[in-house]
Amino acid sequence: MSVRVYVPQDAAALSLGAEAVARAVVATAEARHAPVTLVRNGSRGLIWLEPLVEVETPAGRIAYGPVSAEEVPALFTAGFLEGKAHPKRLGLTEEIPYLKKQERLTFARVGLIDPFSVPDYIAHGGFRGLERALTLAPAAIVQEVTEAGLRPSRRASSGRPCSIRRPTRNMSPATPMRVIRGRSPTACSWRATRSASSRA
Amino acid sequence: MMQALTPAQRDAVRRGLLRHKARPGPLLEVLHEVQAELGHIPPGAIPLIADELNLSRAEVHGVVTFYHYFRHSPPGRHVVRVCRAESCQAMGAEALASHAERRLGVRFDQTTPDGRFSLDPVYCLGNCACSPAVMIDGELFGRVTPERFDALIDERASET
Repeated sequence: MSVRVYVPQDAAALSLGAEAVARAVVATAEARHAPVTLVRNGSRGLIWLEPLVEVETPAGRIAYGPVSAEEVPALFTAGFLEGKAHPKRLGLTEEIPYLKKQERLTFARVGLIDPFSVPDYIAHGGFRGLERALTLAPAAIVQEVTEAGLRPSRRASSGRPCSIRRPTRNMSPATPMRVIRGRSPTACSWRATRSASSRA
Repeated sequence: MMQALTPAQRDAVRRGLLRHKARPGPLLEVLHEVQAELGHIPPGAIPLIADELNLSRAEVHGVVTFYHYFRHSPPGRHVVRVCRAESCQAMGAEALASHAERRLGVRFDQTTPDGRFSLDPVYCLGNCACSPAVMIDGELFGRVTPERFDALIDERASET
């Protein structure tokens, strides 16, 4: 059975040699006839541990890091595909204290999946809101947003809830609409205009 | 007297204009395209761009000179950007910057006499957690020590 190995592809990890690590994982797996499925995930955000390599085991994802390309053969020898011991082994990723103490909302999926994979996104609950919205009438969608009480950042909205911000009102598909960033934080800082020809 | 554009340069500027002219606020897009194609913004391109976008030459000149990313002359074969912003400075980027000048034998904003390397300062590559950061030909490197810098330069200096 093929083992899933995660090597991040985000900019910070790449700047620390993640590309070479990924290449080394593939080359070593081939040389040792160890079936590996390489997944290029995003970073968990533990940048000081990048490149952070994870292996999927029955117990969960086990992290190793920071890993250099030169260390990859030794990791295979140590049995990292079964999550075995190695000086760079950090244990279950979810149990790393820095990560465990966090409650992630908007970033909940970061580092878990390949951000370019639509099937991965759907498997983690992606598009569910969109699917439901497509079954609702426009007014019902605005109502839903109002009831949810969502607030964007104060700066972007002057503290007003999403639902009363102008772009959500009276949306007509007939006219192209554009959202323009205004300058004054006290005045309405986002405006919807209905011009297609103005030059920014 | 401003140097006239070569036919190839004129074509590149025209292509950039054609692609982006209809968009709102096209100036930066056009400049990016011209620099991507030619490696720099030839001074002779400024009147052409101004005319096509209905801007004054002063406006275009102002934008080209405001963003230090835009070059006025062709770069070396490799463009080495060393970050000198706050986070990188806190992690020793000034020492790395001096090292880079010594290693390449040029000051910032100069190109080596053999045309191989241009050395540019940059103010934040967004890689602050891995300071100090360096970008070479668009590729990002983090936690760059003088030794790593030399290795990166050696790889590129030895190619023919």
